[in-house]
Amino acid sequence: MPATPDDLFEGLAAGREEAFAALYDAYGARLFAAACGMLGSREEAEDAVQDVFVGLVRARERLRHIENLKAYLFASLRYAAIHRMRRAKALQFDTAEVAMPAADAGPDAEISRRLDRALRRLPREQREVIALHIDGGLTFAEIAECLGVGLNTAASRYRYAMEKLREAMKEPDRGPV
Amino acid sequence: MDPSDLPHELQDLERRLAARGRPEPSAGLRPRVLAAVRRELAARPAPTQWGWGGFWQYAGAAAAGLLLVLNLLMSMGNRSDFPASRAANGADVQQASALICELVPFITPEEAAREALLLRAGSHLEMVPQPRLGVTGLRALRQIEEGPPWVTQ
Repeated sequence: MPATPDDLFEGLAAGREEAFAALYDAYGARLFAAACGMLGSREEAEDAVQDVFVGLVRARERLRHIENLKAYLFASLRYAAIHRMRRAKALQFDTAEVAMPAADAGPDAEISRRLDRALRRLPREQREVIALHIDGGLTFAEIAECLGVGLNTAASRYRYAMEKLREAMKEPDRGPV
Repeated sequence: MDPSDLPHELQDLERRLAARGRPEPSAGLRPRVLAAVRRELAARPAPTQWGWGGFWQYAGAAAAGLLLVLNLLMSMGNRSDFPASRAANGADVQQASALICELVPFITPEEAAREALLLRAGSHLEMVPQPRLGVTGLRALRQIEEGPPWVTQ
């Protein structure tokens, strides 16, 4: 990873591959996890992460003006995910495909599977806010910046999503979505 | 929003969500992404810094712009843009234009004005003789060019 954020921005703007590699090492896994939460498909999530980095190369001249690179990355990921969802309207979530590490066996595994299935039933806006916070590790301020909404809106959207998820967990499990 | 703002039940749900772990990307994703980055970088190299080449590019663009402005200024000075609607302000042209409009109802006033201008320009042309020789005249002309016919007696 370059010594300072300025070095990183400089490297990205200059088109140095090692800067992009450092950025992937810093955020690649979290971007992928958040993309899985949004798209529900490993393959689509990997494509979305690739889209983000290709987009960064194309927009590298403008990166110097960005204040919060992390929020910018996740906002790009969100656009890439929405684009992919629109392109494949019939995209089906496959919870078995996006296997979580903790979801192998036992009662916790069953709860994890039910959580995943309940997540897939949420509307896109609510699903993405949970993916950004839980899987992407973004703060509410960063989510607000990423979604282009106010801090309170981001926080209340998250709360509604959690409430809806809780309601979905109370319903009898209907199996894979 | 502070996580403690959530009711106890939702906090518990949040903990469970976080505890289920994150899906890990495949080992192949990093090289794949970096290969895509490399391809994109090769397709879109960074713009060159202002060196001599850049200076001459800039100078060429500035000179082209300046020439264009000078050209436009000269056009305006010479009135060479010649908008037909303003040029057709002579009484005779307007009269001719009105007559054309009357004779040819489907023609637009602008087109009529243009035709009137052409007519006026045509009326100022000098007369040039256009001889129509016909067959006899052409034969006579050819005889003049070739000389008198041979007498073979």
